[in-house]
Amino acid sequence: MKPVLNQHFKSIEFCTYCPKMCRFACPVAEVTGHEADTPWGRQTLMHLVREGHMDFDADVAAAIYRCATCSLCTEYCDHNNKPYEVMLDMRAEAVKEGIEPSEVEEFRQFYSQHNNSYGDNLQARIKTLLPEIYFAKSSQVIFVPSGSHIVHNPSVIQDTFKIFEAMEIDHVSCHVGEVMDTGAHLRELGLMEQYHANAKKLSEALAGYKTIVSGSPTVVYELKVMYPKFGYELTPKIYHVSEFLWPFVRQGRLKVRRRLTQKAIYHDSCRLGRDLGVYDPPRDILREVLAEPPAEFARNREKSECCGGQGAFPWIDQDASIQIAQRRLGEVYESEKRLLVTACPMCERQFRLADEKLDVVDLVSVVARVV
Amino acid sequence: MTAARRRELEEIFGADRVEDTPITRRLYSQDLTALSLVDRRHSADEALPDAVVWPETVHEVSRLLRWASEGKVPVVTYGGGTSLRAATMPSTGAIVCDMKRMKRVTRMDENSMIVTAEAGILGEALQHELRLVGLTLGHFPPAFYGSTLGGFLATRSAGSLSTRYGPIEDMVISLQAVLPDGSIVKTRTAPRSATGPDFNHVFLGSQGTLGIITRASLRCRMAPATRTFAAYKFADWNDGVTAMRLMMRKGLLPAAVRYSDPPETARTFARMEDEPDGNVLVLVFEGHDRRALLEASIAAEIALSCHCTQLGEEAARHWFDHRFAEAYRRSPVLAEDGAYMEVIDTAATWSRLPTLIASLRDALAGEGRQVSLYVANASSVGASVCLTVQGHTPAGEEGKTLQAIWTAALSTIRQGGGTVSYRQGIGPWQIDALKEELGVGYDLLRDMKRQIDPNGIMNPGAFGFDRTS
Ligand SMILES: Cc1cc2nc3c(=O)[nH]c(=O)nc-3n(C[C@H](O)[C@H](O)[C@H](O)COP(=O)(O)OP(=O)(O)OC[C@H]3O[C@@H](n4cnc5c(N)ncnc54)[C@H](O)[C@@H]3O)c2cc1C
Ligand code: SF4
Ligand code: SF4
Repeated sequence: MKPVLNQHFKSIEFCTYCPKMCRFACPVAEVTGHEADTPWGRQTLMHLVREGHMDFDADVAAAIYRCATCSLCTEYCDHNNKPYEVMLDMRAEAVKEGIEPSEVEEFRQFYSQHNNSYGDNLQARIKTLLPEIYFAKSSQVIFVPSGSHIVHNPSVIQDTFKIFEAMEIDHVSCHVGEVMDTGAHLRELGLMEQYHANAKKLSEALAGYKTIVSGSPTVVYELKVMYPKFGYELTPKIYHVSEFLWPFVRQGRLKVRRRLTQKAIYHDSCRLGRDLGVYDPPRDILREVLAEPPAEFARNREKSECCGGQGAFPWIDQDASIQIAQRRLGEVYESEKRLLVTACPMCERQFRLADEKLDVVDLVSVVARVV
Repeated sequence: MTAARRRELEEIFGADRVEDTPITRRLYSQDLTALSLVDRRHSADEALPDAVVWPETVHEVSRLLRWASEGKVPVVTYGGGTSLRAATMPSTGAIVCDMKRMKRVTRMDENSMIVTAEAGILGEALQHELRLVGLTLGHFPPAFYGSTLGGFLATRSAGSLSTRYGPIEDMVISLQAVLPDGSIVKTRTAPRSATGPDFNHVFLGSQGTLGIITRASLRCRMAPATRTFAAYKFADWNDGVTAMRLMMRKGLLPAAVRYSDPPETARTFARMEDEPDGNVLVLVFEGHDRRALLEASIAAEIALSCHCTQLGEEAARHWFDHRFAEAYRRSPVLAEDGAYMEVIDTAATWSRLPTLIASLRDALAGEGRQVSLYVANASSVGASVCLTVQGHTPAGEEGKTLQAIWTAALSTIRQGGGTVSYRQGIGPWQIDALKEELGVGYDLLRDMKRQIDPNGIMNPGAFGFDRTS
């Protein structure tokens, strides 16, 4: 554990001596008001452990799991510090030492049972959602569906293929196989042994394609950024569905019947925005299908606030994760009734759990309404 | 903490808002005071509170204080914990009352330009709400992202734009506070009153010793329509001070007026491509566009009459864009063993300021040590001086060095007629200087403390008042 802390020396020390300059942006700290839930607090604990003033025990381990890895703190950090990277590495250490919170073990068992983070048999479920031809292996472009969409909002996947069809994009097939989940939550919870086994299989299954597309920023981020970091380099180009669709839309391939007159507001997901840098394609597409451009949250793009669903945080503290989503929704309530559009299944789920009456729609489902 | 006490607290707050785990107690045992941070490098001995609680309503605060008074349990009120003056460091056995769950904006009176908010709201969160309706508080101390409204009020905070907008006490119209016996006091929200002494001022700067501030109504301003920037370089330090004085005398009201000496200039502009050097005066005017431009042009005439060269807008713009950088710059310094960095502030009248600054420079100079300073937050009467002292000692000696720096600074300030604290309140090492500055006033303060808090439960130790004094 010490070598990991030493490796993060600068990050830990900078936060320890910092007047908590990013704490207002930390969604977890904002809903609990607890110093241990601030980037400063978690890093100070790491400092105390590194200095030998405190043991790395179950209490400390529990604290380091209370970061949603949304990366917003970094946006307000003059030192470009990334406290969540320390937390992620230390979670793996906690698991090695057997001091991880009980929720992590519950998740491990859940994952082992279902072979994914969402429950259900994703392999069987996806087959019921789309016609068989979409599972043909001959295509060079593979769509990797989000497990969350399959279980909680399957119509988004159907809408995606409906749009592909309407735009005459006929070279995309849908992934189905033994591994349907990137294992992002395994990594985020420090379960690295299972993560590696999972990543190895999925990367092999996807190796033959030229392009990978997904409606889930989590999937894209994992395959594009994290797999290579852990030694699973993928040769295909990897895109979020909005990035994949936008060039076709620009070419005029999207025939809009009638633009939607409903007012909408667009929420940037942390993974899609800050982590993948995809801000404009979803907005550009929305401008093509809405009569009025989407409204913006006061804190948007790089400064967009988390929905609470990131980093497997709902597994650690579901109540706090929903309060985080409710906090984000404050602005939606204040304005006239609007569609809340996102391009991330995790955000959609969080916002629905936060308010079941709210009209939360995935970007592709908005597009599907007009083709 | 005994199980019985815990149960009593849980009755007030529910089990999930009372915490006494070792990590919670440890994190709430410290703030950002340089002396304690450097001491912690070498020892883990800190006074730990018994528990931390998070009230959500004024009634919970009231119940807490009544309970604490009855049991004579010390209570430390905690905002953001960004104090540099050991203001939230608890005594052993204290209950820390973290205010950050009381963070609602309860009223936005746009017509009267008054915002009412609970004391635990963070500076940026409050400013964000105001921004949405085109208003601003104008209160921007560098650690504003991490500190709370209650903390601003309880330390008489001043920010980087206080020349125009005033320090926090100028913004307060009314407040609500809970006294140690649990009673709730409220002052009236009116533009002004002549109803005897102003009770707001009893709580402003009280550092959690007289009760807990739960809510305040504050004067806001229109978000500025425009901003103009200018910077000037003075070959002679005192010419710059004179220029500031003359500008304030003419009634100019810059948002920021900040005059840095060469080492402070080097630090402030280190990240600029064509960074200026020497004694640099930065001016920012904002508000109504025509007035801002006019004020900037009068300021330019005055500056140029005081023998300076014009630097253009860039340096001022850079300072403005990075005005919170001061708060970040401690980390890279303090991360090194043996390193220390302390910020000392004072204020003095124009008649005393130049001599005081010269003596402070002499008193604080030392082998391997850098002293830098800027003059800011000016008025027709005088201005504040903020000094940063930074250096290296053999590891383990940092605390002693900081103590020596403070001793030298405080005695120089006293002799030079400055105040021992311009902003941020008073740390334990400033008590003697405080006694001297307040004179009989210190006895009055102690009497007031005894009257309001007979059991001495509120932040024992602050201002030198222990539980029996
Ligand atoms: C790098 C750096 C730069 C700084 N620059 C400035 C500056 O320019 N100007 C400035 O004014 N300050 C500055 N500060 C100091 C600090 O940020 C301020 O004193 C701030 O107002 C403290 O707010 P807080 O919420 O963190 O209060 P805390 O540190 O939590 O508390 C400070 C004191 O106020 C009391 N208190 C807090 N809330 C309440 C309440 N609701 N009721 C009663 N008492 C309460 C506490 O008990 C304590 O005594 C700086 C600090 C740092 C670290
Ligand atoms: S991430 Fe940066 S801003 Fe946040 S606590 Fe750490 S050093 Fe400070
Ligand atoms: S990554 Fe997000 S949740 Fe984690 S510390 Fe930073 S702001 Fe907080």
